[in-house]
Amino acid sequence: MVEGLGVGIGWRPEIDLTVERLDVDFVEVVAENLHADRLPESVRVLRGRGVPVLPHAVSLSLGGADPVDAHRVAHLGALAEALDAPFVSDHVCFVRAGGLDSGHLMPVPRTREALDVLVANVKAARADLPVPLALENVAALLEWPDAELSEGRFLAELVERTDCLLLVDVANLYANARNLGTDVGRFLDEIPLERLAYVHVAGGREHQGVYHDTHAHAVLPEVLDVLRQLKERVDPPGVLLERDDDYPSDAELAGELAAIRAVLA
Amino acid sequence: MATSWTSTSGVSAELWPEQQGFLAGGPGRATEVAVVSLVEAGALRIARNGLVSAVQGLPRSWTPLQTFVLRSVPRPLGDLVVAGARSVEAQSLRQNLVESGYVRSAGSVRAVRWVRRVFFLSWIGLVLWSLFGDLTFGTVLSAFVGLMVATGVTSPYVRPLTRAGRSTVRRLGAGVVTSQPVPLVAYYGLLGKVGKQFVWQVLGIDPVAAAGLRRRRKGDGSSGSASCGSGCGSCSSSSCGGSSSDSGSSSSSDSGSSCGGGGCGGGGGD
Repeated sequence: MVEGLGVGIGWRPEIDLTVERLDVDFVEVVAENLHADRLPESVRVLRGRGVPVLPHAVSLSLGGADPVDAHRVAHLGALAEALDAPFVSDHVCFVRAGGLDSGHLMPVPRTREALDVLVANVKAARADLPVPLALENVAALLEWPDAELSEGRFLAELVERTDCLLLVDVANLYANARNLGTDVGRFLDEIPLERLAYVHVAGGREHQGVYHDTHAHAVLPEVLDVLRQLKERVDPPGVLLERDDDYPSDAELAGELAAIRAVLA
Repeated sequence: MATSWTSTSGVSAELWPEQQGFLAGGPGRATEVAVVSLVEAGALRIARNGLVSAVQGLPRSWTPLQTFVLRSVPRPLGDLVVAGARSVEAQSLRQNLVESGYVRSAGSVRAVRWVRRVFFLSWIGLVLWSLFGDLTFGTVLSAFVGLMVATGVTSPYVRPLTRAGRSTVRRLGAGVVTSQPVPLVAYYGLLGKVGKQFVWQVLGIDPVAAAGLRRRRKGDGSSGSASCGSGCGSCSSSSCGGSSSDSGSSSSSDSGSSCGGGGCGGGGGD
């Protein structure tokens, strides 16, 4: 398992100074928004303080039928080297198909055939990355029919076949439990927690009967409860608060970080 | 913490900091005051790259100009100030100051300037008449004295600020301290200097963010403030500094005579 990262927050340009002020142990950056040769001043400041900065990609489309885009992988790798990051991450999803970009992290069918495609893409990406790759479970509003594996088993086999790390998003897991009936306990029991890199926590809200993982609202106590269930099984190396819009005050963000620390205590 | 409509400097209980900023530096300055007061209140963030964004979850009542600012973000700081200076809200602020007797209306300033031009051209006509006609030198000299008297008498009326407005700016300058960001910005503007430091440096704004602020050129009336349209903007020059308790420069250089007395000349980044 990855060595202790602590509690962190997603670095975003809008809240760069807030992130610098907050008491965080590590941060995560959206890889597509940064250039390896032109890192933002704030990120350089954080690196200068010794704060680990982890690149998190959203566009490799590892679950897609198309081959992995070598340029995107190269960018992610360059960023990892520029930031001296211990590993990088992306999602178990696809974002492109047939030349179209969905703009969303689309879930992959949990079939053996889809798993083979995913494994091939992950292996191809890993071959060109200078650091290990962690893969994150996504929140889905629908499930493809004819699933052959549970989400936990799907991820477990993916990790086993690719030797990648796991990035568990407990907010996504909560969303899937709410919207799709995913069994949280079973998911946590099935995934290889010894391969856990770190954990995502985020806020969301229900709209017209559907829970949306918005990253723009406060973290629900129920999401922290999922984190608590995870903590009962393993001490997560790191937990990161994701907030992507409608940023609250510094105090409110500090409060959310404190709530996460309280669960981990 | 002071709200936007709290008189932070004790200058004039009836004037908001934005109004004070308007008097000292025009509509852009007023917008800078709105931005900084919102930052002070925890309602806005200014990122290192200059992007200004709203902090969620602070249901408060704001001034019209602050509301405009909150409605306009996310936006780069420089663009935000320009937009605020050109906003209807800034125009309303100006109108309010005209009605309150702090700022002269654009029409009255224009009218006085035209009268002065007519006087001057008439005198030129007299000079030519004396050269090519039968007008006596004494008459021309008398007319010149009359022109000087008329110029002197009308001088106060071509300034954008009334005596009350200039007095307000003078008192604002006398009470400015670096520990109070809102009156500091109202008087000097973000691009103004206090000692050897720019105000944006005093406030901890990143140089990249400050680089987006623009000084308004003299005579640039793009702010929409007809009678307060000229001046050095959020000036950092030390062309005036007489009345300030700080050693820095003034924000307004309309008259150049004193920091307090100019008024309304700067654009505060516009």
